Amino acid sequence: MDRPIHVVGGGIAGLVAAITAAEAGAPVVVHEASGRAGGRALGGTERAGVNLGPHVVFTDGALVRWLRSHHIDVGLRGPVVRGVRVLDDSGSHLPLVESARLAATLPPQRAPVDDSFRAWAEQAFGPTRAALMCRLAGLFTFHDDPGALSARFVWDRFRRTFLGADRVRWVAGGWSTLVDALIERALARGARIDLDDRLTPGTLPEGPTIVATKLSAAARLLERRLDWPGTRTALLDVVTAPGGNWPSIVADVRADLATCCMIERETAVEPGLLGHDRYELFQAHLGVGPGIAFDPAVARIEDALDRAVDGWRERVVWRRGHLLVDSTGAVDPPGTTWRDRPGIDQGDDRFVAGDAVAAPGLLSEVAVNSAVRATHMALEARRRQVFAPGWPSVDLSPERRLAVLAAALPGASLESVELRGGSDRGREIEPVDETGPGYLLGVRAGVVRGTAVTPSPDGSRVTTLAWVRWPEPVARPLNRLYSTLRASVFGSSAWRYALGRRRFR
Amino acid sequence: MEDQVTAAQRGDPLAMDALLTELAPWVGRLCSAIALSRGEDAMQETLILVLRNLPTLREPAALRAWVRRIAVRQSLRMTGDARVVSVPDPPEVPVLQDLDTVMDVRETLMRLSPSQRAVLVLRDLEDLSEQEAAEVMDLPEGTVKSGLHRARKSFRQRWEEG
Repeated sequence: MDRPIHVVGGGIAGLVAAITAAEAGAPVVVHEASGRAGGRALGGTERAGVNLGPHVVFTDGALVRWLRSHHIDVGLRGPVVRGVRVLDDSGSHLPLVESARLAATLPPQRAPVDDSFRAWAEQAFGPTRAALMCRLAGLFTFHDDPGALSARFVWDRFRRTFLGADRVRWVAGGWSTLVDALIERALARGARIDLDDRLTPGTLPEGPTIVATKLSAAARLLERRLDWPGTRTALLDVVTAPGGNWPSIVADVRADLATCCMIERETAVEPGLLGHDRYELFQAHLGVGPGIAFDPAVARIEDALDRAVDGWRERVVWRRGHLLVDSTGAVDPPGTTWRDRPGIDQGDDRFVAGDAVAAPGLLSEVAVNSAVRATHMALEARRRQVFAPGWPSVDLSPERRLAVLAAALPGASLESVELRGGSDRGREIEPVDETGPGYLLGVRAGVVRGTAVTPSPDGSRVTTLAWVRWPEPVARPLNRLYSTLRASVFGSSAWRYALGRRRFR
Repeated sequence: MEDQVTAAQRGDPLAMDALLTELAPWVGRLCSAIALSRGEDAMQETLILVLRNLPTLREPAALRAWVRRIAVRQSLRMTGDARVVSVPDPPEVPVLQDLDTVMDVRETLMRLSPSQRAVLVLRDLEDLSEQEAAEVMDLPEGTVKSGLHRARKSFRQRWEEG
């Protein structure tokens, strides 16, 4: 192959990277250490359709958007909201509803990076509600003490999970169907997937390489320190014979834990998941601290099952347990954000992707975002190889890209350009999946607004770059373009470039 | 690629955007090597011209040659050296293999006249023949030849002095 892009690891990040690179016309080789691509998304081979723990996607998240923009069809199922059972100390489920209601009445608001979620939530919601919210955050952090994490990190996810609950989906047939669809697309686009191909530092290929493994494996392969806090999470999967009127979701928020124990009855969402219509699959997870062994954690999960699911023990036909370490994505301690995690660009045309690197998003979205970003960098590195080294070069900044499109698109006219600085307290810029500093293009009613968002000590600094009025026929494709642009520029240093002021005419 | 060009010619914004992604790194290199600090402006003007005039391009396969021509001219225009005049005492291109030479290349490029840089870029970065380079710059082949010779000589001298 002619100067291929190498991808190490065939999980979600690796497959997304392979497809992105292959669709850009580059030859791609995926090096997968095991006998089957898919990584953690496969969930094991004992039972088809059973994920490694609970897995959901968000329809407004990077994974679903990416799949849609690539026309990869994966069935998605909405949540079953009936039959949610909350186990708390008072036996009531009111606090849950109440806190969700309370949170919903708040204006969009960011929490501070430097405080712990617990400290911030106590101030914002009072100690009782804060304690409950800390525990509930175990649902999406998989952590044993979510209240100790950065308030920004937890609150962003809290809002997406609980206030955007209508956007939660389950992948029909389990994530192995998603993996199969990705593999099929990668192969169809000409990517090569080498199985049982475990690389070592000595066999790491030359040329642009995307290391899309767990962080610890990437560190060994690249022979450098790459680490970030993760979680220890106990998983228990149970298949039972049909039972009674069982809940679809059990949220065990009893106060003996600093987190919650979540149990999902996957067959409530997808009754045919196991092939036998009436068999039931429960999947439970519980974040456990460093000092806690696996057995007591499982005992705690079983206790929750005992209280919420009558007669499950007698009906068990299959079960398995796992203790996952650093397998549920990065968590950000107070004082840090995703930007502080190990960077995608590791120098020498090596890039890392995965769910614990410097990219925005929730869980698997981090893997997708970082994979796309790493691939763009690798493609650029590959292009660079054909040029003599040493020659200067410039990139097309997003601002200039907008300027070019605005000037060139038929019928578009730029109405005004406005450069503004200073803290813009009156306006809250909604960070779309934590886009943060970077570039937002808003398309509303045929008007495009370009905005650069810069962090500053007293909040976000907003610079409006351009307003363009688009003729109606152009507006729709622009909406798609808008999501592409938005996705492609996060984390870029684009905002540093002043807008080509003179260029707008 | 050619489908993309055809779609962009029809005014499909997504295809135009994809074309930008495809062309920008290469155009950025051409422009910044010739126009130096005005490289970004030259790139922007080039890409605007490319997208605006795309419908006039008859043969999508000829895209690169066409874009190259626009990029070189815009870069020269941006440096105020729209008409190519041979300049006394110009530079030259060593074969650069390692990244330590980055600063030398930049330094040397800065001492060249824009048209000398353009000749260097076309011959050494773009691998065009002297005839092709002359065509892009609308110059007689002989002028490019002598310009290139002087450019290389001067470049090498400066590089070796450095």
